[in-house]
Amino acid sequence: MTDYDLIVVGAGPGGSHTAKVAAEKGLEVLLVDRKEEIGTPVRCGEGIGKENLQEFYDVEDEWISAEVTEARVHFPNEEHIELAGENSDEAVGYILERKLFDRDLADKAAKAGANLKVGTEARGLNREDVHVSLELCDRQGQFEVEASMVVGADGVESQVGGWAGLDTSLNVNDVEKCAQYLVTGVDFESDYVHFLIGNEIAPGGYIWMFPKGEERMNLGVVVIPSKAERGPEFYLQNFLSERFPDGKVVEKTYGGNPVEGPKDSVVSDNVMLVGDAARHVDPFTGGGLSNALRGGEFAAEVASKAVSESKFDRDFLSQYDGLWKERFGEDLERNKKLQEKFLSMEDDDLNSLADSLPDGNLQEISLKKLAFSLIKSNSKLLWDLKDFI
Amino acid sequence: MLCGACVAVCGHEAIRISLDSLSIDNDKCEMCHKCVEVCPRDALVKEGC
Repeated sequence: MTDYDLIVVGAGPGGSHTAKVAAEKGLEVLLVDRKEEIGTPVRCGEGIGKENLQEFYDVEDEWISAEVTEARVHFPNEEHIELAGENSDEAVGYILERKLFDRDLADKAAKAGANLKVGTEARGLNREDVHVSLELCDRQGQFEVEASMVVGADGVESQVGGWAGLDTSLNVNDVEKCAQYLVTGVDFESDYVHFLIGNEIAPGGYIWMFPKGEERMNLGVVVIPSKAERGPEFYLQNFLSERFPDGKVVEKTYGGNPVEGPKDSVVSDNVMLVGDAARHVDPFTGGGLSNALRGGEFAAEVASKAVSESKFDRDFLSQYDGLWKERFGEDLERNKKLQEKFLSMEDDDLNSLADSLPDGNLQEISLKKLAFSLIKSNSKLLWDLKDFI
Repeated sequence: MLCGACVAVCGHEAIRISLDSLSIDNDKCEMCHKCVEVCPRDALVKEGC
């Protein structure tokens, strides 16, 4: 007998959701996180599509810093387009208070019956016959726990994946370098999330401005190592001092965002990966929250089946690969190609793209229409994307 | 709090991070400096020239 059916490493949204759903299905679950306080520091822009969150949770007011109706993309020549949702009158997205959101999701997992150990770091994983033992370490010292399965929801570094023999190492240019400030005292009340593209302000990436309510915003920058001569904070500070000289920085965050696109498999014997660890981040938008929740749901479903059939090998668990690929595998693949295309564009190309969009300056278009416009202005892209759109 | 980007690009499992410390195993490190290139907070620097 093992101590647990499932150990989930990492109590971000993907890990906590996996643990919650698995516990609800009656599995004996342990959720561990090396942080002593779940949810801090925040690692991202905190945006999520409204419907994507509602698919899994009844949204609680305290999770929401701001609601947004549209995304506005600003080109280097200062033209912009608006990406609208299906019903553009309603909020399409939330800017979350991730500190509270992440902590609540872990709390919900615990209340569903999952055991929770914070301040507990995973140090290694060993296969023993048909189960695995995980080396854990807390302030009292090192100890081992045994389980039938481990879900690695341990973020970009994905150590669980590496221990399980999965090739999770990333190319340098498949990691976006991000820096974000929570800026206060700025005259920035907006119903939009703003993305500013241009190789001068953010080489290979973009600047984002997300409203956080109460004269605050998440101001972040993402750059690609091969195109950026300086670290992301250099570009962030330049932008801040130019556009919001009176803004005060109350929090700083740094991170690497895995934008590799979909892997063939994120499953090994006894092991499944979820969220950033599984490279389920949208390479075009950089968003990872929705797919982390979706992946967590699938991983918990497969774990539950595995327990009822006592099958924990790679072949059985590869059902998980099938589920996430069916749900969002093609989106990841298409958006990786879009991202690569954007990366190859100079500012002049970006501007001519803005000009080529129908009907002048202000546009309300969907992401799909944007993709079509991209294709029309770039026949090579059409060739690359013909299978996806 | 470390972000782990360096671990993600290290093909030699030479980097270990915990909450707030980072160590590089000199025996495993092949001096490719990908970790330096990818670090979002310029915390890693290449020594020498």
